[in-house]
Amino acid sequence: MVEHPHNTGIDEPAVHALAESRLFSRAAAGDRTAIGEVWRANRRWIAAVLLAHAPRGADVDDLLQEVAATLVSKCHHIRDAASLRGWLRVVAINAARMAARGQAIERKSLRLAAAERRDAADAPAGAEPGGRDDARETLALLERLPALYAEPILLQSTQGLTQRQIADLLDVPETTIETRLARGRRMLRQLVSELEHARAEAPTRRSSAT
Amino acid sequence: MNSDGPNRDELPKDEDAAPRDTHAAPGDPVAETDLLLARAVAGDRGALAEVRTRAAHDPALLEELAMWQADELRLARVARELDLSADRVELPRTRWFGGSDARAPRVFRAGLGWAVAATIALAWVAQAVVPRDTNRSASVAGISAGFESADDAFDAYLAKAREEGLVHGEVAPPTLLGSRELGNGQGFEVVIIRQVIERRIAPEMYRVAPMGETGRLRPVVIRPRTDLVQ
Repeated sequence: MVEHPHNTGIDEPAVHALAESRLFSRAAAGDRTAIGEVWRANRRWIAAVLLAHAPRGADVDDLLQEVAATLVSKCHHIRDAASLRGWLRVVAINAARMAARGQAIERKSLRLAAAERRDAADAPAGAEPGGRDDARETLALLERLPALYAEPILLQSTQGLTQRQIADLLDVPETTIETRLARGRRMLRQLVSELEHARAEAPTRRSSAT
Repeated sequence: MNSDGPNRDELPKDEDAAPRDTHAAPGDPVAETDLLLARAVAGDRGALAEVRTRAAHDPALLEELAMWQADELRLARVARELDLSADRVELPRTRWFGGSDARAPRVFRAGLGWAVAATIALAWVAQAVVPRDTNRSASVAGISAGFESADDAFDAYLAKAREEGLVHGEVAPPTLLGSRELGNGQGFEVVIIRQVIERRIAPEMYRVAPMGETGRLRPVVIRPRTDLVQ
């Protein structure tokens, strides 16, 4: 048995890239275990892509399941394992667009089932300042950003992807991602400012009405 | 698309072709300051140093950076919710390859998988708290129903446990204990530890204590007290 000390001096990114490439190849060849591993390794950023492209009222859980079902049924058609990640993104965007076409969009904020379930079980609303309510509010603001800007922001801020990784995933130059991030963050800042301004105005309006 | 926000698929002007200036609104050429702030909030040390240098002449820049960092915190909270949501969705276990029913995961989630996962969980509890009778061989009849592999069963258990709040936090990545080549081109044997952090409530627990003159170890039931002073 070979012991693995903590610091082996191995080029870990290279090993990781190789292992990932092998995994993708196995998944594309129809290996069920590999497909499961691919799903677990990628579902979080796929959720971010869905969130960026989904219409209001869409349920990210449902859309994720659509993508999972497509991965299972179609991934063995992929000829080039290296393109699997890009293919997953296209599947996610298509699922989001189908949701936009296929459903009557309700005028409600995009909901995340996990947050809702914990709402029912946890402490009273408002007990966690800057927590779940804040996340919901931010989700509502993100929905107002064009997907072009929301996607790189979500991939960078929620998934920790670098500009280079986002550029590779979206198949655009890195400078384009840099520009989209700057512009998207500026848009988000303005939306947050408007929200805070409206919140500050609300008590004033209420008191003047009485 | 809704009326009170931009169309999410709407393409704005070609941002790549646009020059960068320092006082621009969204839709216009991107401001150079915004590029700097975006790099700074993403953790670019060079950008942070540049902001600090410029703030000596323009103190408002630091205030702007603080606002952008506050937005980044908001996004971090979204990340937590998003990851929780994503981790709950497992691959469908029915209609592999060629299945046309995109709702297959729902069928699984509501079907046999839950029952089997719950059975596994119950079996685990029983084995964990009750001393094992080593003379009795374990029965696994029925456990494998609905699963094509142990990994499938494990995944189903994780999904169900997360739904029920049994699994808290992240499941730690596998820890590699060791590996060896099997020879004859068969591959490698890899030994790993898979960890799951669980929270459970048990009606009673057991401790093992020496009993009688022989000092033989026997399980002793510990029941929860009902008269705890708060």
